[in-house]
Amino acid sequence: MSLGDYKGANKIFYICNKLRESGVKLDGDYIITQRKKKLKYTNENLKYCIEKLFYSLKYEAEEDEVSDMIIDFKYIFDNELEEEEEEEEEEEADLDSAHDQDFLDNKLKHLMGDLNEKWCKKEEEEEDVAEVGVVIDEDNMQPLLDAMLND
Amino acid sequence: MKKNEKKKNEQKEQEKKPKFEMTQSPTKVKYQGVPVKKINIKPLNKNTPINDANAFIDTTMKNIFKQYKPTEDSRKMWRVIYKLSDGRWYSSKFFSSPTDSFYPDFTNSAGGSKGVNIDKETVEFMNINIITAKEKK
Repeated sequence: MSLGDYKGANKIFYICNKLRESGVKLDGDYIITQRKKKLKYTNENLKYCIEKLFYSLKYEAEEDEVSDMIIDFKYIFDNELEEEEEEEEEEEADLDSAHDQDFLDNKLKHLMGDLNEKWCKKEEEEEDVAEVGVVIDEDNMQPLLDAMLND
Repeated sequence: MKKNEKKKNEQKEQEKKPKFEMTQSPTKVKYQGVPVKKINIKPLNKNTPINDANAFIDTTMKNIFKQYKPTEDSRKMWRVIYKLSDGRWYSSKFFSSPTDSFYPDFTNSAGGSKGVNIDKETVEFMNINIITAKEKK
């Protein structure tokens, strides 16, 4: 499977995984590059590592969009992949191309949970300033139903 | 006196009912290429048990499926997510039918989980994701 075979979040995960395989790590406020250089973590430095990866994998420029997405979802790279590194090492020996899809599906499940967590955290923080809530209960849930039914 | 007692009892009953605060957030996020709408639901009662949240979701979804009329080329799907007192987020799959399971999968959370003690944990935050799948012509 190559990058072009994946879509949306799978694509992000694929790239994050490749970054990790190529030796890129996040270490607190720093990012360790493919060549073990320790740089201050910034979007630019992460992008640098992503571009280096694209170059080494011979991916083309359309991946600009992907690198932006990964910068947005940097925490996936930061947390999810690191946490599961040990598990992956055990699994790696058995992974052939048929297993790859299952593996990615499973990761996608975690990924979607993480994306959700990110939105919620961010919005919880913004909530006080940005929005006035509507109180609902079982006797008064029409505002919720309207929100769920209308675009 | 009796009238007062009745009123008090009614008031107590009302206070017992779980209340939630709803907000909506625009997101730029897409799920499989489809934009996701998100509704945030915050329990106003302290220590809302999972069973109360589930009952609320049940009632909500029953009402949704009473009112919802899918069209030939467009179908809505919902997903329910809880943040529990263990600090983790648990999510259901996207569903579109009243016979589907609405509740989050408590056996799995972002980052992994060994399962949840439903009687012990409480619900800190909930949200509902909505996508509208449109058939391409």
